[in-house]
Amino acid sequence: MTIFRNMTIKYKLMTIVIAACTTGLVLAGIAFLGWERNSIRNNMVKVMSARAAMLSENCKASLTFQDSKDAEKVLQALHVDSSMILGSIYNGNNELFATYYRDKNTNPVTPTEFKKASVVFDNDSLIVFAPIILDNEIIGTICLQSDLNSIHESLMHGIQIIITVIIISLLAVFLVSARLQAVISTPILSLAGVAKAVSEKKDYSARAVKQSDDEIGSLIDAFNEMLEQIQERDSELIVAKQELEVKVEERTVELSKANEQMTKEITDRRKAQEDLTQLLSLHSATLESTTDGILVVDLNGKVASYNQKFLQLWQISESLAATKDFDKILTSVLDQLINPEKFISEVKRLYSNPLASSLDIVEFKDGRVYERCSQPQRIDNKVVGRVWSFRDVTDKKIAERALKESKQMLQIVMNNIPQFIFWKDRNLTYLGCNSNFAKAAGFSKPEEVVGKTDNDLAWKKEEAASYREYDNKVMDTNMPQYHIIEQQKQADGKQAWIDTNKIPLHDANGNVVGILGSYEDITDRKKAEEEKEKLNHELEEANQEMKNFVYIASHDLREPLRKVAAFGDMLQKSLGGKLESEDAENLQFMIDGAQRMNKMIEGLLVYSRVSTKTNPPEVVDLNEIVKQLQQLELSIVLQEKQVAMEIPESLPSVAADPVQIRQLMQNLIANGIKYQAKGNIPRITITSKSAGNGTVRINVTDNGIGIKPEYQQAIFVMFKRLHSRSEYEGTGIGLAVCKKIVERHGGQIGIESEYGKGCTFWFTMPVAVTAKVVENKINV
Amino acid sequence: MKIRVYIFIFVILTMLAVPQAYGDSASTREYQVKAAFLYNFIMFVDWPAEKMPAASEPIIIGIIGKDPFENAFEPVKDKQVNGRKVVVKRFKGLEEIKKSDKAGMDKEFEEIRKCHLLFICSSEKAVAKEIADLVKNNNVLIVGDMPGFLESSGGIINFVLEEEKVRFEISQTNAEQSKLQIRSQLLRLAKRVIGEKSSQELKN
Repeated sequence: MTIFRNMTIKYKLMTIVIAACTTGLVLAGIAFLGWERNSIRNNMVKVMSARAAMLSENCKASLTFQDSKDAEKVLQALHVDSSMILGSIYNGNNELFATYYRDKNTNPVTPTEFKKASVVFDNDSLIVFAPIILDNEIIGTICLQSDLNSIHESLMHGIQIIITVIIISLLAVFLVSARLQAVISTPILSLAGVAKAVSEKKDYSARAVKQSDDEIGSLIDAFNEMLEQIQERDSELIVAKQELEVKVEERTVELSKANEQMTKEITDRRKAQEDLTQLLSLHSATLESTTDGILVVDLNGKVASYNQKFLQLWQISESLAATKDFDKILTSVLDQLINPEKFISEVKRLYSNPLASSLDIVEFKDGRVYERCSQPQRIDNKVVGRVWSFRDVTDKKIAERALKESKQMLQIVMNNIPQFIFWKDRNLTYLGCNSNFAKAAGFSKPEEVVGKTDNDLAWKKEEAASYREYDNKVMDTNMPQYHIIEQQKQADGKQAWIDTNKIPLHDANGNVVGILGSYEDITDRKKAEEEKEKLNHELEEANQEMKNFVYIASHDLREPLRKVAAFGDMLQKSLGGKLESEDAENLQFMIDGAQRMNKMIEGLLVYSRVSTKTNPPEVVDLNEIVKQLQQLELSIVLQEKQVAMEIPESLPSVAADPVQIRQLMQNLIANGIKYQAKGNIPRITITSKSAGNGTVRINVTDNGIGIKPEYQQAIFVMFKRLHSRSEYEGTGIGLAVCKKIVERHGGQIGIESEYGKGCTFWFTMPVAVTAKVVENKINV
Repeated sequence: MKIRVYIFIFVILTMLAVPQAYGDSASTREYQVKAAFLYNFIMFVDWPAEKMPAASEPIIIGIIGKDPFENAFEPVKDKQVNGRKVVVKRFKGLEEIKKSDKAGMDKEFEEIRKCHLLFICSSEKAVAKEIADLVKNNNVLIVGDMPGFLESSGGIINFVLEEEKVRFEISQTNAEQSKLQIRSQLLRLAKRVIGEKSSQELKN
């Protein structure tokens, strides 16, 4: 609409004319089309009805004589008209009798539908029903369906014509109106032109020219008259304006002065505002940057300010803080405290005494500890409120408590250990000690020792001097001294031996500032050691004498014995068969006794030699030892008894006296061969395995008679024999020697046996460490 | 218990009755159709004006011989044709008529000649020609249902059965002899039309 409103009159006129014509033409066109459509439809209905009547006449007989093929033939005539979609005939019972379809997929009209009306227009088809009457009786119905393409085509044609007519008419209207509008628009436009010129050039002398006597003519007259009046008023105005200008100038000067004044004031105020803002921001930044919780309350109990830290530590919600009600806030936080009564009484005390300030400790149930500080807030020496600040001192309190506890613990430890502890400064003045030390020094409490020197204490003068000498040495060299064995005359008169450790004490910079000493009373130990040493010495002497005795005794004993045996032999040979059988037997007993005695002495010699004649341990290859034994010492008995010797795996080397280890192996193997059931072929098996701690276990297993468990310990005792001489020959020394040898080498010996199934003698021996290394070297 | 027994008996009886009802229904239906056709023929045949009775008089359908129609005319009994009532008259067989005395016979023949349509039952097959000759000059539409009725027995319309449907054949020649005009619609429906010229015309 605005576009239209702003058009020139010329175009407005033309637009109006064209719009009016268009409306008229379109309405006429629509009316024409409506009428056209109606008449075409009526016509179509007429044609269709006629066609239906004709067809019904033609198919009467077919229907009567129930010849549907003939009826279909009749309907087939419909194909002449391409607009026919469907033709169908129903009999008197409304059953389908015959049909014709233009397209195969058309559905015939159902009987209920055609009862409604004889002519039905739906969206795109026309259906006509006609009864088939024969002899005044309806014998059936015919139904024809036609599409409406012909109607649509006619209507389209009509629309085209109407549009063409409208276009041509509008062209004509446009041309005519373009020419005729000038009659109205020209005078108005010229009037507008004059008005524009007047307003632009302010030339009120201009006048519009009247061309006609209609409404426009009178408008131009009125316009010209108005111009005249304006012209008069204009000249008056010019005079008034000049006067006004003078006044305005005066006023302007006044105003600018006032303005300057105002600007200055505004600047000052803005500066003050800025200062204030800065102060406030400083204040709030300070409040928030401190780790303390801060609360400011005025004298009316209203919260003036607080920081976030304050809210956090008291767990006060923002909404509660926003109430600014100090009492409310106070009551809400009380249950967090261990002692709320004390807290509240302090608050009351301070509020009844506005000038007072305070500093105390507030303890929370959750373990936090705060330092509460309260100061009055003053403005120009006048109290206006109170500032509370809360500082978290939890860590400090915890540390203090821990320190105290640890000191107590140290004190307890120091006073309850048997040691004596003391510490001195650089000038050897006592700084502290434990109660043991105080007691020894002649005081009842450690505190009494503080400040004293060694000369003030119970010890002898020369002892004190010695202590101080050591102290200085430790501090000067900055090196600890351990196990200083010295004497101490204690307060109870006891002359004690003590074992002292002294270490220098340092300050934070590492400088020696004192000494810490601790010692224990070793008087009893010292005495015991002296006693032991004495006993050992005596024992050693006795042992040596004993050894000498045994050696000499057995050596010397053999001499007469050998004579008895030798002369017995000679006697037996020389007497030959001259002796009575009883005498000969007695002589034989004597010779045997002498020989046995000799063997026993020999055994004793061996036994004593184990202790007296020892060689330092060497690397001994057990395989080699066994091999030599088989070839030399045991060769006869092995052959005699057809012994089976088995060494399934190579034996290790041991660190031992080679002579003694040979003796040990010989005794054990011989023992296994000796104690056999009669007729049994002995079998000796030697095995080894590691026994841990650098030792090896050697097993010598036989298939002999075995030993009952109750005797298994006894067999290693000297002269202990389980069998009579007649059963098994022996001196009862062999296994005792074995035990001695093994024990000398720091090993153990034992037996595992089941009676009647043989036994295993075992011993442990340090394994040769270097043996393999040597072998490896040789191999390389 | 008694009721159940009655129901059982009733069911049994019903089952027994059904086959009989079906047994004669095919021929009954055939003759019902034929009866309707007889009525319908009247509408597609034009009699000479002198034969047509006054509006108050009925059109007479005569049935001669052993009547096979039984109750077949019941459904069409009250039907009017060309604005007139239709009356069905039954006549005895020709041989039997001839057995009565001369006056009675003549009277009976006269009645027969009054008929507009005469159906010769198949019981009269042997004397069909004789009956046809009897009414030859009386504009009677002679209808029958026996083979060769048109050719040898002077019949005008003969019923035939085709695929169990009732059809008919027409002798145009015989119709013309009896001065009856058979409408082309009827001729078109006939299975067979005797009388070359007319059938040719129809096809064109």
